[in-house]
Amino acid sequence: MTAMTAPEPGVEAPNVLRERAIGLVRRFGRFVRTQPVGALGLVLVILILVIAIFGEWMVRTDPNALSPAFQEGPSTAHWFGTDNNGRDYYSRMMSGGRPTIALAVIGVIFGFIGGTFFGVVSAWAKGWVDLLFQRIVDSFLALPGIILALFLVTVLGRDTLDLIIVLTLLVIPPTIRVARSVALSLLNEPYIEAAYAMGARTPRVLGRHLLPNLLPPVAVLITTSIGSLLLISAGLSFLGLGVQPPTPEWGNLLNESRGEILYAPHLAIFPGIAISLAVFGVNLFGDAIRDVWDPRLRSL
Amino acid sequence: MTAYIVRRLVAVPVVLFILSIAVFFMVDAIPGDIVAAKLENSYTPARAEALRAHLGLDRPVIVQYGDWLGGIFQGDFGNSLWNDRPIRNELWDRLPVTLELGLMTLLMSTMFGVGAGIIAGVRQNKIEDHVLRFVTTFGLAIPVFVSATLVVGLPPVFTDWSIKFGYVDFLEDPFANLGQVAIPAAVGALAFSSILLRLTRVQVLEALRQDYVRTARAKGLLGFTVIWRHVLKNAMIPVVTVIGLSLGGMISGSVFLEQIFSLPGLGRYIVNSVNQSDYPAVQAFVLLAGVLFTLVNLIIDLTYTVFDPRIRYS
Repeated sequence: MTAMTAPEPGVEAPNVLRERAIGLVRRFGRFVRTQPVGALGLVLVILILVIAIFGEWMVRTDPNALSPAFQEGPSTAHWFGTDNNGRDYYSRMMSGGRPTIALAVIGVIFGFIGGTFFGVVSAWAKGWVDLLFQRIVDSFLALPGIILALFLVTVLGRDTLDLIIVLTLLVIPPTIRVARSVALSLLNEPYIEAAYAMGARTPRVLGRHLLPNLLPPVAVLITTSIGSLLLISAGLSFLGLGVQPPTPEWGNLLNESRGEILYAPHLAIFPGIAISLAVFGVNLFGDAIRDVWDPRLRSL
Repeated sequence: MTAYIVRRLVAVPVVLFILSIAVFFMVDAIPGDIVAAKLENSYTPARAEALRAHLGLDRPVIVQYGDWLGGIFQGDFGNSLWNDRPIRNELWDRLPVTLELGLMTLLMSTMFGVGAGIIAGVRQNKIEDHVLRFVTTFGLAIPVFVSATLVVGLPPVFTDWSIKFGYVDFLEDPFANLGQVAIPAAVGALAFSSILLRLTRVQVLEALRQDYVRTARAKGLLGFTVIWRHVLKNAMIPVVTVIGLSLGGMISGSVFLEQIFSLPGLGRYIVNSVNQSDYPAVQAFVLLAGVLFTLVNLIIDLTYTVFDPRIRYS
């Protein structure tokens, strides 16, 4: 339907763009007014993303540079103090966000693509293919997230690529389930039948007509899973099974701090706050998006 | 409804069968030779061949799978690659610790979560409600491994008190044991009770708005009786479900809590096994967790029909 109403290229005058921009700003303003908590979440998400993307360049010293200043508390020279090897903790904290966040975001993106694809195929194929897919999904969902992650780490390993696959595999099953159920209801819509009646083939019907309507609700629901994925990626590193030291990562920084906490409590407090704020912000923002999209999905 | 129950009952073995295939063959596909790893320096082709035959690794992989699955049905999970002890004993020895931790977490979070949730719901928008909801924000925001690390680490920094490590068996000294498990349980309960509190509150609010509650009030019942007999009875159905579903959370929580509080339970065992690449142990644990989780989910879904006759599955 979008294909039929799409304007000719070049017809769109600048003032239309401006109106669109104003509309976007208005919608954003409404989001902030109606979902103040979600807006707080958005602020946290942006903060965390800034640290993840630019954090490594916002430091003055190499996060792995040793110095004789062991376990010092926060000072003007070392804003977050130093760790047991005299490494500047501010530098380590600022570099430590990227691995966790990158893993979670990449996992969600890949999982979203894979899960949507298999979910649509499963819903479209129906019959025994659908049944088999669903039972496989069920068997993945039969395990709590962290247990499945531990198993996959055992099988795959702990390199960056392995961890990306682990997190992707965690996202795929729930995404298949959501995408399939949305696709099942959309396949009954008249426009799908109309598209077939106009002679469109299946790939075109699924790609051009089903997918644009399927993606938003699935994406909204998957947004809410980024929080738990952050938890699992930081949690694996905390258990020593994720990002390996000396590469700083919030989870392994927290784990390493456990031995030193008596003499240097700041080593535990900073990564603890960072992980909590990241998960908290993502969850608040995700919940708010979900509420705006469809208030009926509001559960807790 | 019978059709629904039958369909669920049939699905469970299928799901577990697929899980067992995945658990076995994914581990089987791991590159590397277990025999070479086990023999290390004493490796000779002849010894490797003998050990392979001893472990049954020279047979076709399908036969190995059948043997493994058959053993599990008889309670034989194979031996640990790490210390050669039967995995069944390893798991059985650690089960009580995890069970105790899980039950205590459940008890604490139910008592606090449901109790405070009722208060928050009944006193909506009053000071109690605001305070409790503020507290739950922290409970939901702070991951269990963060709060546990701080609970273990921070008190000795500022006080003379510290948590005593070194697990004491319940039979040796029941009070020391309970005290030891109570702290990690409370940490776990912080997160879970927040979820329960919010859910209970919403449910109570919804039940309070029902006609039958107004009727009960109108016929002059005491406030307490109305809450107890009419509101809670109807508000609790989803809460009971979430409590049942919390099993997965308990297992996940035990992984971190036992690690941080040095409790010799299953959660710590699985992390160690993963660390040591003790594949049979990981396989056994994962499969058992799957069985447990699936069965509990099934029971919850089925009891739903008992708790709430309005629900009719079609």
